[in-house]
Amino acid sequence: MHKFCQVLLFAILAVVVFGGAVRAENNVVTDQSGIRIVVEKPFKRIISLYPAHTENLFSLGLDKEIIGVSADEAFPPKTLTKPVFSYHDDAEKFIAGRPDLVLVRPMISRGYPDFVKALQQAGITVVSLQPRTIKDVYAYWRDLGILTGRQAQAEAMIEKFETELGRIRAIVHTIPEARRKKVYFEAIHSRMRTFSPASIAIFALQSAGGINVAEDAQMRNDTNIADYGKEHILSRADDIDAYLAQKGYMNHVTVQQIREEAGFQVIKAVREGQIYIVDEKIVSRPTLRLLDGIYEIGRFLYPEKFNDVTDLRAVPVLSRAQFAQMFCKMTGIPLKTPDYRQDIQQRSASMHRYGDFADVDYAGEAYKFIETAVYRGIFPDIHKTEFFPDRPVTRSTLAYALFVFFDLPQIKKSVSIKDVTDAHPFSEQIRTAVGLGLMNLAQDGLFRPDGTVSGEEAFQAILKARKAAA
Amino acid sequence: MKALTIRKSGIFITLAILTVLFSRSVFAMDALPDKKAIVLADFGTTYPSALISITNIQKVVQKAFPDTTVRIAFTSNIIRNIWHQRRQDLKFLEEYKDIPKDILYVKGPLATIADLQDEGYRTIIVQPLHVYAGEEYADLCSYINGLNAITTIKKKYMPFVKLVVGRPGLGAYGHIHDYHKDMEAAAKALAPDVALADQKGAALVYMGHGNEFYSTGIYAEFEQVMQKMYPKSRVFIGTVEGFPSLEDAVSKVMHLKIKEVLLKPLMIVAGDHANNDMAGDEDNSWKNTFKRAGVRVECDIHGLGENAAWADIYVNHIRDAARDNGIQL
Repeated sequence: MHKFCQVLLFAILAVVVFGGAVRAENNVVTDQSGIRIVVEKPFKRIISLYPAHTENLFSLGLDKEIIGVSADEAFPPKTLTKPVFSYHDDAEKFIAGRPDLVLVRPMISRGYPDFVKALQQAGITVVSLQPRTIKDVYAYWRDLGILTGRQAQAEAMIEKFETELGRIRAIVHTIPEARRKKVYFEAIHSRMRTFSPASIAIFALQSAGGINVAEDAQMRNDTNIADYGKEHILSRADDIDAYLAQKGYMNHVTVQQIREEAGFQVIKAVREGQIYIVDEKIVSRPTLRLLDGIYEIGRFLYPEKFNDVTDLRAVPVLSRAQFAQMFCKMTGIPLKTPDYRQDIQQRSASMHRYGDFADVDYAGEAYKFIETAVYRGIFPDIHKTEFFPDRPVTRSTLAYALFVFFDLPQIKKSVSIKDVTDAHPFSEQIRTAVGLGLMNLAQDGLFRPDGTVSGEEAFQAILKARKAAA
Repeated sequence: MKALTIRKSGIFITLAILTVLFSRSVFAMDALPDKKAIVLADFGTTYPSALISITNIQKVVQKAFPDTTVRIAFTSNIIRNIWHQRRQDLKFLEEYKDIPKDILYVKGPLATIADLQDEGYRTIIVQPLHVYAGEEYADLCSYINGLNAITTIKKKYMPFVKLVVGRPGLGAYGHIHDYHKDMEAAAKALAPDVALADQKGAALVYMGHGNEFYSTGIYAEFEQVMQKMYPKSRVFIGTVEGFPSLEDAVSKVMHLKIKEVLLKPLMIVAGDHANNDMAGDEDNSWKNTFKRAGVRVECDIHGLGENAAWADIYVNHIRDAARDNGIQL
């Protein structure tokens, strides 16, 4: 009995001690500067100085808590409504904004210690986070959840990521190992650097079924980047089925530049025109859009798998959102990812800008195809703030899209269509589509420009247009 | 008579001695030599494939002035740095053997002029490879004016004997060289473009650069010159920045119910503007703006520099700058 009491006492003690410790760990975040933050209550006034932090805070369902973001952020669209802060600004500007938390990353905490110190002295908590490897991403999302009191949402993010990843892996699984493509993934062109094998970008590549040819690359000073060198790339020239490059602040590269790089003509991928550019924002950043990056790489490497439109072909009345998706997939248009300067700032205020559509869910699935199609100009008469994604796509829109996207030949003889006169705004586009046999007139000779389109009709028309333009 | 002869010979001897003394003193004091050079100043390009526009002009100019040194200068810092990096790239050098040393070691106009001066070139004609007298031309003239403001205590130590600037393609302001004539010559040089558009049954639409700081009305004027010279064809000009705009060109094309256009850059090099702004895939590219209006589009992505007749314009402008300033090339 005495012994039993001892055991019981020990057990109770253990529960109290370890239970307490577990509870304590649930509200503790240790950042990359080694600072331990005990979160007594969630932070409510947050300034984010790294676009990935901002994006994740929105994914956690925060909005009014985000009182400032860094310059040139464009996603999600709501970031455009937030005041802009920079670590180059005077600390006073931050203090005046009364944040309780400023989220930075190691590049800032290491490079601007005086700035960080000034904020801390003003009583502002500064947390420096940036996961380097995919292993750390979930922990990072959980840390953001702890800091903001959104632990459940952080778990939901992880679940969403895993579910989607599972879906992509199921597609990859159908590709036999022998047909998997070997890829060189360029990080910085001018210095011939790739990504380190444990980086998020290589995770994206491998998740999409690509085989990294630079597995032997050595990580540079605890970064995502790894030295490789031109000689090294060229020594693998015959192995490289696809040459993939990230594009962004670190790497302003074009396909032409890669094609014209001296020596690169011996690379199999360059010889065969398999050069692809992917936005750094969707392959190097620890956000949910990493799924878009993985999907995009999949589309480059295995278009027949990732651009499959079988389900859309069966749709009797295609909606505008579905048409956008079908068109993007069948034509292989790269996904549009908004760049603040190019896609927002440089466009006039009267033009539609990425994120403007009030009737499109920018946390959903359809938006990426809609914005891609809109930025490609295949929808006529784009309303600045409404896209009407669920409305049926019309026959005149289909004709218009084919005309804009494909370089169609001139029609040999003029076409007369009863219900499409010269006064119709898309008379030329419709006549071309009919004249080339891409779309048909009904037996009564009418085109019915406002009529609906089935998935199969759109599929056939796009297929024919591709042949006609070839 | 004899006395006069003696006096005459005395004067002659004195003159001869003076001449010898003077020339000796000149050599002794290291007076600057005077060689002549031409500097072709251009914004520059990084694409080896687009470089042909610039090197072609250089070849034409060198052929026209075989005894004069011709150098290229790039005004863009970024572009120069890229070429400098390529100097270390053995693969690049091996693959692009034809890239002249002038490009690999290319400098800005100031450094190019200074180098030439160092090497004893004191008569220099700077010929801008600009289309019209806009911002870049104004800046270049400002550089040259700055250098020409240098005065030395002794005239013989002046760094330059002559440092002058030629006119851009469509001429410059002033009464000595009528810019209307320059425009006519330019319009003549563009005959192959008009013929190409005609052959395709298309209207010719040029994309000029322009700027937002000057009136770019010269493009509108040049459009009319082209239209008058080629009355059976349709020629329109728009600019990336300034007037007339792309929208102006589109509305004219629409008004005339034109169904097909040939797009071409009115720029020396077919670089980013031609590849992206003009022939790019986005909804607001020139190509897609026309297509969205129901007009079929073909793009011809070749810079003016590839047109030998356009290169000749610069040869003529160099010749004029030389003649105007008493420089013998």
